[in-house]
Amino acid sequence: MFFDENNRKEQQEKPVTYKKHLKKSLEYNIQLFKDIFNSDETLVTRKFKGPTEQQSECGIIFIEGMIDVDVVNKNIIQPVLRKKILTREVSLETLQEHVIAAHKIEKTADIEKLIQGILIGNTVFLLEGASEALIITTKGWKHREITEPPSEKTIRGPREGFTEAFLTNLSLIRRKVKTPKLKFKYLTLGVQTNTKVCICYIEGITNDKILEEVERRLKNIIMDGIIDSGYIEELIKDCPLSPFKTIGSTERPDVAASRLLEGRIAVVSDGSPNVLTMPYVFQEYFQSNEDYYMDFIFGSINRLLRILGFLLTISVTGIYVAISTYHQEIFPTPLVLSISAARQGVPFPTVVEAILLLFIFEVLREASVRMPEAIGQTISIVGALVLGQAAIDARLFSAPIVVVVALSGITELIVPRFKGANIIVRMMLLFLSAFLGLYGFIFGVLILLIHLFGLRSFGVPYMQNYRSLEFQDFKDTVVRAPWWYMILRPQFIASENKKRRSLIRDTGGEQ
Amino acid sequence: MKKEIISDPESIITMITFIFGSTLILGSAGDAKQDAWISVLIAVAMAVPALFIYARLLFLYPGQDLFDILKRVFGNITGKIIGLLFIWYAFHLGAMVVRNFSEFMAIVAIPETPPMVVILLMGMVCIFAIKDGIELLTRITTFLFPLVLLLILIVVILSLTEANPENLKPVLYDGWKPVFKGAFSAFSFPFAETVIFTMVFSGFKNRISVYKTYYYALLISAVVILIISIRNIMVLGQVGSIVYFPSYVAVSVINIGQFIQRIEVTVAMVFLLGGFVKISVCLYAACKGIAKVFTLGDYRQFVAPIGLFMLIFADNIYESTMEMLEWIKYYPYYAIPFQIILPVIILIGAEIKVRQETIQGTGDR
Amino acid sequence: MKKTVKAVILLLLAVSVLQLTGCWNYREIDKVSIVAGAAIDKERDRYVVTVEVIDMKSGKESVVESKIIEGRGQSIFDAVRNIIQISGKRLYWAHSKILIISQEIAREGVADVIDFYARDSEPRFALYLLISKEETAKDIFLMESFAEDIKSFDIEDMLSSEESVLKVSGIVLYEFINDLGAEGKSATLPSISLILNNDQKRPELSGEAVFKKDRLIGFLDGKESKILHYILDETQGGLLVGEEISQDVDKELTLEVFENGTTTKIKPEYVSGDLTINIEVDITAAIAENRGGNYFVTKESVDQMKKEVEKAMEEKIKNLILKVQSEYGSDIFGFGRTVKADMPKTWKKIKNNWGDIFENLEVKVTVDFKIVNKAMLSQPITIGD
Repeated sequence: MFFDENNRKEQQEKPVTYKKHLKKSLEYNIQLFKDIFNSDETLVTRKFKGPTEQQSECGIIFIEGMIDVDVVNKNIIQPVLRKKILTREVSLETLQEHVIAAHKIEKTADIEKLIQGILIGNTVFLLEGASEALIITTKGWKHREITEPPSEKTIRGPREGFTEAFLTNLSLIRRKVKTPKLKFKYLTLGVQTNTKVCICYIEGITNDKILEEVERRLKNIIMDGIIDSGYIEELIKDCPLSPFKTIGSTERPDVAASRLLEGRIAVVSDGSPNVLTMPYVFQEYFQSNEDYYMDFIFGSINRLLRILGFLLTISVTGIYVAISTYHQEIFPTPLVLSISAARQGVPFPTVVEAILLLFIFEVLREASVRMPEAIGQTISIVGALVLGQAAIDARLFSAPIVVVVALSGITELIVPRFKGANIIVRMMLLFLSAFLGLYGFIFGVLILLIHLFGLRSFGVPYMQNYRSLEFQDFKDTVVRAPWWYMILRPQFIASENKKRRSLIRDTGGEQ
Repeated sequence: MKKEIISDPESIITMITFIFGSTLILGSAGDAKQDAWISVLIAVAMAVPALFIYARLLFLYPGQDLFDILKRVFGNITGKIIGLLFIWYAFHLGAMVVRNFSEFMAIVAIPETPPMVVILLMGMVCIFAIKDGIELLTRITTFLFPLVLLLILIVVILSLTEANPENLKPVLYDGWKPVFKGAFSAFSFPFAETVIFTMVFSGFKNRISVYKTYYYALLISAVVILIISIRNIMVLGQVGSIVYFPSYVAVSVINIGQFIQRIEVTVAMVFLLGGFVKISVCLYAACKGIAKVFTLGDYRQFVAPIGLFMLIFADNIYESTMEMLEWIKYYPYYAIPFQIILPVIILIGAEIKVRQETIQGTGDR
Repeated sequence: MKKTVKAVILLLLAVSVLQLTGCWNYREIDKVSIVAGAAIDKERDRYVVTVEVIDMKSGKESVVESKIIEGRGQSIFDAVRNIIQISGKRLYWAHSKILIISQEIAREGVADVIDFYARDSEPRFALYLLISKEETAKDIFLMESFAEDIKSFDIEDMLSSEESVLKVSGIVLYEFINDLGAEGKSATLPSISLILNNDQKRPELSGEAVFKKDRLIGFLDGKESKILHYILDETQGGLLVGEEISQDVDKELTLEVFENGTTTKIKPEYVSGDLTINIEVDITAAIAENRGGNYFVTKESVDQMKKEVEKAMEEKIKNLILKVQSEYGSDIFGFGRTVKADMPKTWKKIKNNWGDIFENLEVKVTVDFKIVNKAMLSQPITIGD
């Protein structure tokens, strides 16, 4: 775990407790809240009374925009105004039981809780003469529709995606896995943001040790705010300096559900459509939910393509530079001649060419991500024509290296999840190749392998599947074995209850 | 520090790769010329009892490595002295392999690059690997092994087009003497070098795995080395005995349809992987030995200094390639004490000790 | 503070590594001259190495041209180094295809010349060796008319297509070294000469050059070379034309021998101190061209032809062996090697005076000839009125 020393000290001042208590005076209580939310003009306080003067005064406090106005008007204010029972002797209990029509009401004197309630969009109900208050659930702010996440599009499969709404996300998961064994555990993280975080797992499939570890790490987070689950990911991941992901994230409920079924743990964070899943092993880079929805042959082909894409994108520039500057003999003679001809008059050495072009490619990629679609075309024109054709014609770059870098760039996009890891590994291999040729390259591959095999994700070896010689462990790696063959869950994650499905219907053949 | 447990296939594969190590580059039993394959067979036959000694040692004391055994059998002081000898052997062997590879690369690929660069890079990778424990090394090896084996077999099949079975004839033309000489050198390099593993493996899943590991590794590696040496003879004939690196040259003459040719670099890279495993294992053995003999706690803290020392040693061990190959001729005699004499003595001691302990009932079983 | 020091050290290391890159063996493909082939001559005591390098000119379309450069030096390597002074670029040998050695050097011994090529790691072991029949080896490169731009590639193509023309077989470096070192087998190399074709001088592979030890002692012409390959069991198919296979009758007949259609077995026999070599040649062929109106319809006529071909071939083989025995005394057929492989004990007895034994060796030749088909026509084209 990686925490700055200073940060920690600051955090120790954390509980900014409000020592004050609610008193019987409504006036006092309202003022108390006004003081706490000093100069926050979205805070609304409203006092009102029943139809007759004898009735005691009550007040509600909420934050504008966070509540469902209809609920507050019709279910809180209206009944109180109409009912005559609101005499001076009336208690909060009576109100809670007979008057206020809300699905969830909590009575408390804890001012901390009340403040939290207000902050998440609930309404606090105060009564003259009561030193307690009610928290009425009136949350109702606008959030995004459930749409298909643009970053994880599929051709076949459900089109739902997580949204920023916490409970909606949980319900999306629950709807896929309808079992009481699916557990949700709440945590609140972030000193300032008070973000709700939920650990989801299926009891009996998930390995308890991993669960404990996840909880431990989450509880250790001391941080100002959690805006996105990315914060959590970075704070609790193993080997924080590694460019490889050891925690998965998805925007799709179906992916999250299937990971849960494999014994993984999901962490949903309020305000983030990205749900974290852990442990995350290397093979998951190459898995796509679609592999499992389409037939296994096509799924396997796609998966092989992805692996090939990964291998190509990290290695092709390195290998090209190594061969064309150290081992020209490997190329067939005609190829040597054409490369040599293409390189005539090019000012840069091959390595520099490769580095420059890779840089340009990354710039183009980054530029086009955040570009409004209208300007997007400019980039492709500039990229393709100016940098591609013109640079070769002007002999700034040789044609083969442009082809190689383009290949490396396109294959990078096959597995977009790799992102940073790709770039770093590719550069490392490129430098080593320029340094010692293919021998440098193979040393680079060894270093990469040592790193990958040394990685662990929550105690699970990162490369677990690739070291085993057992076919059952291999079934879901380079290929996607048919469902009727995948009898066992990934056993390194799911400790007990390994059987994914009963063997009895094994030969049935129906999907 | 958690105990490192290695599964059977992993230990077998690591040992096979270790045996391949530099053998695939340097070739084995060069003395015997066209009868080298007979030498390999005899060497395997000789290796069976030798490997039995090593396996038996580990079998008698499950969960312990050579250094623990030495301490128990010979007591603290004698045990430590013998332990030191073995540390030296592992260290020296590692340095020799490092040098073999740097010479190989200097000759065939990158003559102008200072050998120290190659040595350093290779050594750094090994240090990096060993720092995370032998378990990591076995896992990487298990991952790479199928690829290595596949590539070796593909290349052997490709070189069949250039093979001439006539080169194997006449059998035993120069009599048995060179054959035995070759067998002896093939025995001590590489098969009996597996004595290093008595220092390395202690965490077997069950006791019988030791035998399994040693004999499966011997069987598989012997088959591959046999195939490769027959291939080398058939492809190269006379030339095989005048080049330094016959396997490399045998691959370099492959030419299928003008397209599949000059593929030896790919093969050289595979050889490099074998060297990586061998050096790492030797380094691990040496570091573990030092930690145990001097009771200095975790071996990991010695990996970098011992590793770097090994690299410097490797750089200065020979003057030239000629000297290196000259030394390889004498190596079998140098290795006898470590590969045969000492293990036999230790085994005898261990057998007696185990019997005594069981009689006295102080055995830990 | 400590961290800063660490960072600085790391940075320095990184920078120094960057500096190291780009030295040593890093060589740009366009900064070397790719050698396509070389020819070696000797002028008095100095070696003359003529290399054909590939000259690249790039414009809209890249032009590949051959450039001939000559260098002189005390040793081959010296001469090669001197070429760099002229070409300005380092020579890159890994893609060189052929090495032509002049007759003069070959007669003095080729071992010294090929040493450099075998020792250096850059030239391939699969480099074709040739002996020039012209005055100097470089003459071959100075000819203008080639099919391809690069002359060496042209010659390489000839050598590899020559397999089905049967005259010579390309010998690559390591095979030649093998032959040189082998007991009981003398080496041969294909020879190259210039002939007039369409009023232009063109190179032609003209037969095998015969070596004794590492010295050239003579040449076989194309037809003899063809026969030699039948004995060596190296034929990859080819044609047997007219007089080659017949004394008189069927001069018009052309037979095509298929790839792998021939097998030759050499069986030595050692009876009471006398060594006899039995050569059995099986040839399978088809009629490729049939002029002169001979019908090979009946079994008799086919048998008769078969007999004639067998007789003719036997005679050719015998004649060649006799010629080599008497003129060169060099065991290019590898009889000695066969004896060594099959009868190692006998070989040990006779190897010391194998030269004499070879010259007086008795050789028995049996040819078994088979015709498998007549191609498309069952009969010759009939000519009506």
